[in-house]
Amino acid sequence: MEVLALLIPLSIVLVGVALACFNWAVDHDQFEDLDRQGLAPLESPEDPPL
Amino acid sequence: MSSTAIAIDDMHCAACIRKVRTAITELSFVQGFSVNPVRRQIQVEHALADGDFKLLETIEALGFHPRLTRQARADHRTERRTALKRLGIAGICMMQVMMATLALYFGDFWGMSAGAELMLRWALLAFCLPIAGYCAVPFYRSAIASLRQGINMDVPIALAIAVAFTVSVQHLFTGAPHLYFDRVAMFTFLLLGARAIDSSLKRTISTDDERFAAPPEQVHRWDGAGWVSAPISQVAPGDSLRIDEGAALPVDLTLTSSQAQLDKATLTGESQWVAHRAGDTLYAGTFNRGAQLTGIANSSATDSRASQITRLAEQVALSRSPLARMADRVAAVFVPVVLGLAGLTALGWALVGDRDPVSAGLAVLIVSCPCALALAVPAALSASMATLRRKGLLLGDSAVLEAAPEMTQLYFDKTGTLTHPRLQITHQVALGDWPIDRCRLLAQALQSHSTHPIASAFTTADRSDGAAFELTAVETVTGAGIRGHYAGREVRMGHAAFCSQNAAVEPSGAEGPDDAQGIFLSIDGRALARFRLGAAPRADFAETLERLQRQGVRMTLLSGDAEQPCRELAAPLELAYAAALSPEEKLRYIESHRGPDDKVMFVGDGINDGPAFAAADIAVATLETSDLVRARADATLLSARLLPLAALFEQSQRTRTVVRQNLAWAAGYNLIAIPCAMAGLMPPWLAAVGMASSSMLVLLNATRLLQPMPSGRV
Repeated sequence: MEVLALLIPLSIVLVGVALACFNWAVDHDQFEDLDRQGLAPLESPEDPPL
Repeated sequence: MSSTAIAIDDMHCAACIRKVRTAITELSFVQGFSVNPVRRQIQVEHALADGDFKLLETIEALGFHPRLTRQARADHRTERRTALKRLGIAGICMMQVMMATLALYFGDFWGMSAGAELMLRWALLAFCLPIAGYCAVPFYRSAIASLRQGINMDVPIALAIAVAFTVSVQHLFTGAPHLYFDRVAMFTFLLLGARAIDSSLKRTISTDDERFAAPPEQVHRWDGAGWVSAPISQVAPGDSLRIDEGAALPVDLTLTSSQAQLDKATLTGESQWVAHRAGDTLYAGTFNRGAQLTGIANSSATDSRASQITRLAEQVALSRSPLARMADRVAAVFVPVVLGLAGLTALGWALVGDRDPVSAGLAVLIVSCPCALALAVPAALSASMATLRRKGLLLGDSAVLEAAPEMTQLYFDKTGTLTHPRLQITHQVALGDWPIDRCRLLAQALQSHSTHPIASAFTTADRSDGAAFELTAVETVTGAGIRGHYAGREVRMGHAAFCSQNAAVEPSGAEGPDDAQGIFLSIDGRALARFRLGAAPRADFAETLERLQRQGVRMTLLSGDAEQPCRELAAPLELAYAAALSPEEKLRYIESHRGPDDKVMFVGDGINDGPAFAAADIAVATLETSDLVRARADATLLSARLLPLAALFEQSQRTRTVVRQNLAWAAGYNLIAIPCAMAGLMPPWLAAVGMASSSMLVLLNATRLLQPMPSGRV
């Protein structure tokens, strides 16, 4: 069980990384428009972007 | 007097609203105050021309962050982003906290090395720190701000989070067994989640009112040499504008193109496109569905019909009904009571000692969030008013929704209300050897020279001008008719004697007693055709009546018109009527037929029925009426359709049901949950789930009112 001494601090670091990623995603508009990309295949190439 | 709209985004609860209301109404220059809790907006009427600053200052002194509403839109994005971050981080950390907590539970059962346990306990602190230190910040802020004057609903929330976290940290250092990090995490996450869903539901409820709010930013204006692009704010009455196909009209304008097809659904709820001719008034907010059109602006962007309606609707959304105010007062008493109960619970268990006092006290604080109580009524009323607006009925006050189911008597005005305000041809017969269609075209050509009200019945008839007649020397003869020359022959139109001046109009006895009446068309004194004019009933008249009858309302037609047209209109539908009434007689009729418990609704265009309007419990004005009448009416029909009246009755019934359900739920939930929590029977996580789901349930129930009726019509 000595491995816990490594795993628990590691999980804390990983969560820190996850939080940083999430923060970045919000700041870069990744959650602004969740519908448009799903419709992208239906756009014809000549159309202006929705 | 000026009017200022202020958004206060951190005004979450009834206690906050009361606080703001008290402070604002105490200002000497303030004359009126209304609040919309769903939109978190207040509207202040005041005498000070530059009072905005003073108002903002006052609200800020209470610890809120007020903004004038135009500013509110721009800040919306950053605010949403921060909320999302808080929610997401709380979610991620909450999962870690629960995982570590679970590990500790298992450790209690199966044993765990002291070192591993210690590490897990400190890991809990690491995972919980972002939640207590960042995600829960809005609750602390709001609670601290509220301490300056009165308490709001965020106080129990902030207190629960802060107490649980501090006690846990203390236990961590002293090595005491109980940690409450899991409650902090779960509670904060659920609460943030509920707030996120709340605000998206609130947006759904209020966006309907904002449909007009997006006129085009740029318009095409004629500058004397060509079309140039101009910002909408520069458009002034008299400007010549071009509207491209598919575009929305930026301002009210008079059509100069020969014809146009308009989609007026946004303004009136009419789904069919409407054809217009040169000279017609077109309204801002409608869409051009035909070819490119041109017109002369009648208004600027801010005083168009659409923006007037929007302003009126906003005013309405801001006024509060008696029921809504009652919920406010209940919630204001509720918070201190809950705080007291939580303290008592903790104290009680600390003395008795067989349960953890912190845990039980927390459960009481958490379970009793009165959000549901504060939102129960306003959310339902806002949703219903938005729905009725979309269907074509603008309510002047949400109280109408509460009063409508009480109505026992419904009175209609006839002309302009049940019938179209303009005359139409109801009857036409060819008397000579010309086919009737040709007679119509000749009549149209002749009447197009006249401005008499009768003429419009002929000229607006929807016919092609293919075989237009060239008429010369047209003149109107006052009190008789109109005459002109066509290919050297004299054409006349008017009453029988005028048309038969040169030769006899052939009477044909087969047509009934009214033969001599009507409008005749003659050529060289020989009769060609006879027309009779009347006011046609609105297209959905019969259906509306049938649906209202199903609601059990007694209906009566009160008209200033003669007996016969009233009978013709009312008899086929078995509608009671009283004809040839003066405005005062209408009032007397209503009063004399009013029982002690009767509630009266009156629908009219306000012409000749002012006294009746004033006497009615609910007065509904039609579209074609003056602004003065509209201002006095409790509700206004936004289109030529009557069906929204039936919708009002049906919708108000549903609203009443939903309001009662919401109030019953909020009250029942608290009555059961608080005693359970005090008895120590409710674990704090269950309390958090219960609290969050109860306010969501109330809002979700209100959104049912946004959906079409079960019958799927109107």
